[in-house]
Amino acid sequence: MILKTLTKILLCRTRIGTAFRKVPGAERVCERYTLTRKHQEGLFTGVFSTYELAQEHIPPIYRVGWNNEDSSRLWLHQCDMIQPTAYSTFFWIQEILRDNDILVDYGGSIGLSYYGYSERTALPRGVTWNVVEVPAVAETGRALATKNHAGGLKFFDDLRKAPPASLLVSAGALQYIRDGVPGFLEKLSSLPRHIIMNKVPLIDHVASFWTIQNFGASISPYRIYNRKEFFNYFEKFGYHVVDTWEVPDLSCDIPFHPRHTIPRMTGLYLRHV
Amino acid sequence: MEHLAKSILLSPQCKAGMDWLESHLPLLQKWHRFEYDQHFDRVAKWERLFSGVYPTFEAARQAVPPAKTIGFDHPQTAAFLGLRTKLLPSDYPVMFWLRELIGPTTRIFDFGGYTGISYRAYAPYLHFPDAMEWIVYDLPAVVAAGEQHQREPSTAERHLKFTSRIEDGNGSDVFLAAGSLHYCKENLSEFIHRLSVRPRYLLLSKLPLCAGPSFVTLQNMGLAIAPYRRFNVDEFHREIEALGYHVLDQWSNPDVACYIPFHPDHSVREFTGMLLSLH
Repeated sequence: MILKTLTKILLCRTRIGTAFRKVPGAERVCERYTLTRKHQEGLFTGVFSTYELAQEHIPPIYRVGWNNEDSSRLWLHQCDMIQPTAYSTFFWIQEILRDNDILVDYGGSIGLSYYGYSERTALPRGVTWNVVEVPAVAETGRALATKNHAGGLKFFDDLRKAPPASLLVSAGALQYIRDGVPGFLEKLSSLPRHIIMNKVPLIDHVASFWTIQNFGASISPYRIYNRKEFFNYFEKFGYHVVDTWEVPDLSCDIPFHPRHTIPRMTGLYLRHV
Repeated sequence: MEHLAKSILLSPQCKAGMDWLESHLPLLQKWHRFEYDQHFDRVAKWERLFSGVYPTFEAARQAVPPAKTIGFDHPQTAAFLGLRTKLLPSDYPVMFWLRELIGPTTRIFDFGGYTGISYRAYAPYLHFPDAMEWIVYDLPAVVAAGEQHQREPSTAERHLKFTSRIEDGNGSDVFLAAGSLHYCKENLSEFIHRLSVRPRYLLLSKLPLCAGPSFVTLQNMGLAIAPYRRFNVDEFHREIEALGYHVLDQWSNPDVACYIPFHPDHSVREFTGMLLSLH
């Protein structure tokens, strides 16, 4: 365990990792190890310039992405499970949400934020919480919502079909979406006044890139955004930053690429001017 | 580069790796312990260094070198943390629950609230009602420093009051302790027993809970050294349940850890927060 940790530090966070990348076959062996593990909390491999290149590196026998039954059932038995920084998201939702508001939860799984939030505090009257997810996850979420009598919780499998919202929430999903940033705001029928994003992987000194993440139930291309490019996209649409916070419990360690490793993720609240 | 090197060296993984290496190389551990003890004694600016494992608060207190200042009840340590405006990840669960609990006439008793740092950090975000009261309870020197701050016109906050009398917490709605209980020799229950009317809610943040037996370590903050308690999680829950409280919510504070060199079994990777309500 400790040796594994030391190896991870050496390969992901020091120049030794860069040097070892030059050893013939080393990165390939590590990639194979990463892609064949099961029940992981998130292993990363490779640095790619496009989504397609990252996807090509995932062998066809491993199911790609989140649109499959295993992925959709990942949190089925703990649907109100929340991570510590969910409170940052909840704090701002609590500040913003009023009676009859429409909220869109982009990549909201089976309604994890909805259940986590509504277990702690009552939603204002008439609020609809619209989760946009891949079809398999949306289907599981819909069945669970019926079982739980969660009337205000709706599911859509396409962002274009979601109703015009005053608040858009996205917690740890944009990194899995091929045309997330830039791209997702263009799909909305109207721009929301508020955007809350949590668990976003932002990096400072290199351009945005793709890597591959093995999350146990799914293996997916995974986007890490250059901070400046990310903020510029939202500024272009007229948003300004109200608050940002650190997500200290989530990192992204890519073996042999210490310059592309991020020690913690970021959360943001943006408001339309 | 220096920042990266520091974040690697201070990462839990690196510390765990060091502990493993030293368990196999006793000479390396001896040298490291010597260097660490020297550093622990010399540190002069704000730090968060821990040293030693002691069975009681008194034993920890006696282990402090005689020339050192102990605790916060001194003019030089009463205000050295300054005023904080940037929110930390551990603030959000507290702010979330405060917004739920604050009503027009709510009384918040901020146990160990220092010079009012939480009040000042949260005020821009929480829209406090006019008749709300925020009472900071702390040691006399800290209270004096807090009142001194408040006398300055730029920091004249109308909700904020200071006290060193625990009895002023009688009948408060929310008993807030955000990272203060571990500095106290007495248990939480001893303070609550001294209140004739118990608070409706306990909002506790940054609690160092551990699975093993309770113990005390020393924290060097730079200007002073303070005994620092670590609570056994089961004992802690039994104690608050005996007071008549039940847990409404519980969360972890992954941004706050306590690493005690040479005692890897006594280190805590993340602290805990919880909201409790009187039955």
